[in-house]
Amino acid sequence: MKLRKRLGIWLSLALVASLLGCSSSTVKTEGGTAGATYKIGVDLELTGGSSVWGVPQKNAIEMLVKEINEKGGINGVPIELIVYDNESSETQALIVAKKMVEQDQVLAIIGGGTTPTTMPIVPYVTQQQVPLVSVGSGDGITSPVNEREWIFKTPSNNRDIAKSIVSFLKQKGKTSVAFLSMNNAYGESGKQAFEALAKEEGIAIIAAEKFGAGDKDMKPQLTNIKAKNPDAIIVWAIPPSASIVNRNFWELKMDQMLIYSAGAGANAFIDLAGKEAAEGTYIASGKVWVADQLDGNDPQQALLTKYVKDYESSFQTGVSPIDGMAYDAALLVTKAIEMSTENVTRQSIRDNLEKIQGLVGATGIFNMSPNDHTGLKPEDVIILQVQNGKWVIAK
Amino acid sequence: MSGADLIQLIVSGLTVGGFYALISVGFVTIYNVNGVINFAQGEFVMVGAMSAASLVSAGCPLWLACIVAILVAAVVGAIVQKIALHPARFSSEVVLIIITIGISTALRGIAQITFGSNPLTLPAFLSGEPVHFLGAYVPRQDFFIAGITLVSMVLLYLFFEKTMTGSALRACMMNREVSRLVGISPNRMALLAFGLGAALAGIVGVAIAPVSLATYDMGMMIGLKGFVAATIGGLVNIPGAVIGGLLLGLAESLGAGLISSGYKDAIAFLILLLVLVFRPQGIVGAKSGKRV
Repeated sequence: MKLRKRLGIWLSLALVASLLGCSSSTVKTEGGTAGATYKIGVDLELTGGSSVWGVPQKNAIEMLVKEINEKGGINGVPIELIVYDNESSETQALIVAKKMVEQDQVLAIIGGGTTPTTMPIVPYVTQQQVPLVSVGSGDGITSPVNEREWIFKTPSNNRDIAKSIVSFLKQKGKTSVAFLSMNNAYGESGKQAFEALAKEEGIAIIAAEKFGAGDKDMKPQLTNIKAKNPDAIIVWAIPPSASIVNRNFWELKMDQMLIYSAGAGANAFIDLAGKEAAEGTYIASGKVWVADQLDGNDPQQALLTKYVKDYESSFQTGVSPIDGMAYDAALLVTKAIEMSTENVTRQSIRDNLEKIQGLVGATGIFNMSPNDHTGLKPEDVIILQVQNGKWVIAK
Repeated sequence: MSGADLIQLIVSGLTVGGFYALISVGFVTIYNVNGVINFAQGEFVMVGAMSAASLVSAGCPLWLACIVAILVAAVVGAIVQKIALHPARFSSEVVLIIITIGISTALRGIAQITFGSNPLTLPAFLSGEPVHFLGAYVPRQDFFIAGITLVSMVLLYLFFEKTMTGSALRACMMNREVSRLVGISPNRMALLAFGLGAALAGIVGVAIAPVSLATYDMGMMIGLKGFVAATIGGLVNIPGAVIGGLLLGLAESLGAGLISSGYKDAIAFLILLLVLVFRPQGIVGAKSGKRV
């Protein structure tokens, strides 16, 4: 009897372990008109741990496509989006990418929305020769560029974000920092970029801690950091865990400068952290949140103002930099289709993506080249701060 | 690492440990009466947290939302027992466990459809600046968590030791067949145990949501941690379950703080493996203490 009971426990554990890994469901949107369409696949985190990102990103892409289709499509051909949910899972991201390429025969794919969900797709689309525009920001997505012929991305490189943070630290006279990152590809990529730059620029990293994307309490890590008393804390993470860090930081009454990477740039960030806790927090981000604070000479001002107005009237929620990145991905793909002179093929889209110059997007101004599949500059990343519950340009 | 930092880690560990303890008590109660390890226990936590958060965002006062959410969790627990486990009560243990895993997946799916996939927030009961205590800072909500854990424990004790129904439940935990002879209906007790276990999970849900946010998929991990705590406690007695929960919370927090933050979850499951291999009767209590 006892033995059977133990066996039962072991067996059930094995079962649960296997269940943790797999569960599946797919969402498909309405398929446009019956005739010939330009099919674009969308592989995003509509559910699961990163759904804070995926849902607004899908909205932004659909908004742009709707606008293009209402104007008659590109050269009279409407765009059809094939949207699948990758459930914030690496495995599922690849499964749906295969489905898009093999069943739906898409011309290009937008996604995944994060670095961990993009990396598994990279070898597959390279082999299948399908252009991919990722919304993940890890530098490894588009480099080394000779192995990433088919891969593009819209978020700024972690190195550019790190540059922006380091120059802000220097401006404020901060020399020692603690680095706190998510224990995944995004956190790792940020850590490598920041460490390399900090070394060059003479910023000392005196503590480095990690946490899991699903962790609920980061006070142990912050307690360690607090003991070492750095000038500033750099966090490379996305919500909700990024927000919990901010809340724990406040709960421990820490007063260091708290700076987030662009990954925290979801609207939900302040809500999830709590307004009191988020007050004074910094983020290195694009300009979407501060469209109304830009001066008239900023080349992105016109596009951002329109973007904010359209998005807010369509979805009754505020915009955020992360949906801006997805908007840019759709902007790049549709621009590349528009540039095709003859037949629109996967090859022509790839070639044109590489030729895009001076395209004003929500995240920055894209100047692609065979050696740069991101096309943004460090100046596209600015530092913002929460003041009275709102993001403003940090002084 | 100074003394104050160590206290900070311990406080943080005890808070998380309190959650594990309550879930673990639910595990033990259900296990002993229904003879099944209920892997949907974590999902009851989620039901409590999501219901409370949705009610509050719909404009319901916080205290009312929490009471309703705990009741919702209890009712969901009772329904689950009635429609999924009761008809299969003569099946083997493994079949019952698989049923609970199925329920867990189903509840998660239903929650995703009902509440959506975005994390929801629930305001804290005790808001305001954290309290300074022996060099450590304790968020006010932690006092609420400690308080509600203690109150639940005391109420559970009174229920099991001082009330007729509690004694009947205990009798049923010790021996189903004999308790039937003295006029206790094991079926009713099985239902009651499930409702009670789910209500405890619901309490955890409303207490934890302000700290960790409420998401439809929060249940799996927290349920597993509760199971680890119950196993540490030996799966049969309630004090053991409480101690198991607190120990697990402390081990996680100290492990993350003193060793490496990357190993937090690994520590919990390493403890589970060690306990199952070397002390399957649990590290607390005697070898066969079917006593509450």
